[in-house]
Amino acid sequence: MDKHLLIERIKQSDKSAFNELFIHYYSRLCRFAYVILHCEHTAEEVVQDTFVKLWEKRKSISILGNLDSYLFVSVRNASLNSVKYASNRKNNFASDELMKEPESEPFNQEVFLKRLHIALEKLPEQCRIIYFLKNMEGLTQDEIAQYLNLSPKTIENQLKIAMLKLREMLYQYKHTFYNGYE
Amino acid sequence: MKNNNIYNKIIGRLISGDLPEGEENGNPEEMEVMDQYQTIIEQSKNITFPEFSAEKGLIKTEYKLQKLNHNNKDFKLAFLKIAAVIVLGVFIAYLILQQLADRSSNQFIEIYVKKGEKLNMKLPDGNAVWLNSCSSIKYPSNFNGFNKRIEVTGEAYFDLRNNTNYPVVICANNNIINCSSAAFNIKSDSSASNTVILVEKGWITVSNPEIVKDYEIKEGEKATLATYFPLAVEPGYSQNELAWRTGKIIFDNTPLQTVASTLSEYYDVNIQIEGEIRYCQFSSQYVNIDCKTILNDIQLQFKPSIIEKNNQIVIKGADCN
Repeated sequence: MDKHLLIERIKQSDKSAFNELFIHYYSRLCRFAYVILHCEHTAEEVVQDTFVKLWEKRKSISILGNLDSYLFVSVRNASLNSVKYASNRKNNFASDELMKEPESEPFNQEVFLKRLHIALEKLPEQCRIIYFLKNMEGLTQDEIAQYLNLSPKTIENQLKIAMLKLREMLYQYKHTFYNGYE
Repeated sequence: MKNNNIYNKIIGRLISGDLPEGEENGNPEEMEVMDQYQTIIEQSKNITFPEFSAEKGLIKTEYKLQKLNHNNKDFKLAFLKIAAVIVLGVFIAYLILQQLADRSSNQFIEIYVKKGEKLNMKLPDGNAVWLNSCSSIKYPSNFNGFNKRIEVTGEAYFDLRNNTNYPVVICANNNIINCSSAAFNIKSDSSASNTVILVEKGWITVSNPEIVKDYEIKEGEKATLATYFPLAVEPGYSQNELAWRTGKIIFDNTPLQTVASTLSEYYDVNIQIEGEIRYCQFSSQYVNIDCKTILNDIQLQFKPSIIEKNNQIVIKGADCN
């Protein structure tokens, strides 16, 4: 897919180019928004609105550099601006069951995933977004840097912080992890 | 607890993709820590997301776009109605104003200053203008209200601080200068199509076809507008650039090279400087003094050879003594 050509066609009000772009990016951007918003419906709304804006501004728009970057940064900003953002965060993740489990319990993937999920929610915003792009969407550091318009060094630092914090929060699993080497 | 350093190192390797798979002789302590992180990363991949259907999303987006267009049309119609009324009103007002303006005749006053002369004059509204030689200004005879427009060629100094209600609009080399209360110097060179503005008091705004929006130039700033480079603003300028009006020339540890170019410009002569002497520093102050006296002072201080021929003065010297 030639992104520059696509943008040029969109600028000339070519609806089929817009649809192509939409299909290509929609679900990825929705997952990305979901990581921030934790609400399927709001995530979809935010992404749809971003595309609506793109179409509305198509004539005056000038995308400097990367199209991915433009879309991801737009969705990120729109998500963070979303009114529902703050309330959702509070309601869903007030729970503090993370540390309560005894250490000796056998490893249960389902429980672990649940805890990991909660731990991820507790990461700072930037950290979480970057961790998601790296380990769930499988992007490289350089790609993330481009997507979010940040320096690769920032990405690396944020990932380090994310890993250290996750490890700290999932400390009760240290025996499970250690087993193979004892 | 191990220190953070080792964790940092391990995470660095993990995120850079330098994983230890197949690495048999790794440090066992490191391997343990590494394994913890790796489990976290691998498990992260198992976190599931809701399914987002692009097709359904597209349908919804289409609907939103349609709704938006519809709203726009309603808005446009209402807007057009209001706009039509306003345009009509403005048009009638314009016709009446033009009738009134025609009565007070649309003649222009043009003033041109010959080579070697200077002029200090007052505009009809009481503000002062100085014109350098080979310069001109042109303004309407009914210089008031919205008619405060002046066209400038060459070099002129405007003191428009005695300005009450309407701004003065000055046109020089396609540049439009808007001024409510300021004193400033405009020098426009139509052959090189560049214009230099020094603002001595107050502030002005400039615009021209190359600059998209009006640009404000503040007290003490020097702005250069040229076709090849739309606008350059620098803080500060030399008082000698205003010498044509004040008659004051000040050198303060100025290299002779700069002295020569200042004198060339001010006295309209061609002064060339040759040899190492061009870097020697010269300090002195003059008020309404002729060129000869200054050259004499230079001769006394640095003892160069000064030769005058064919309208050209050549200063030649090897060192500063």
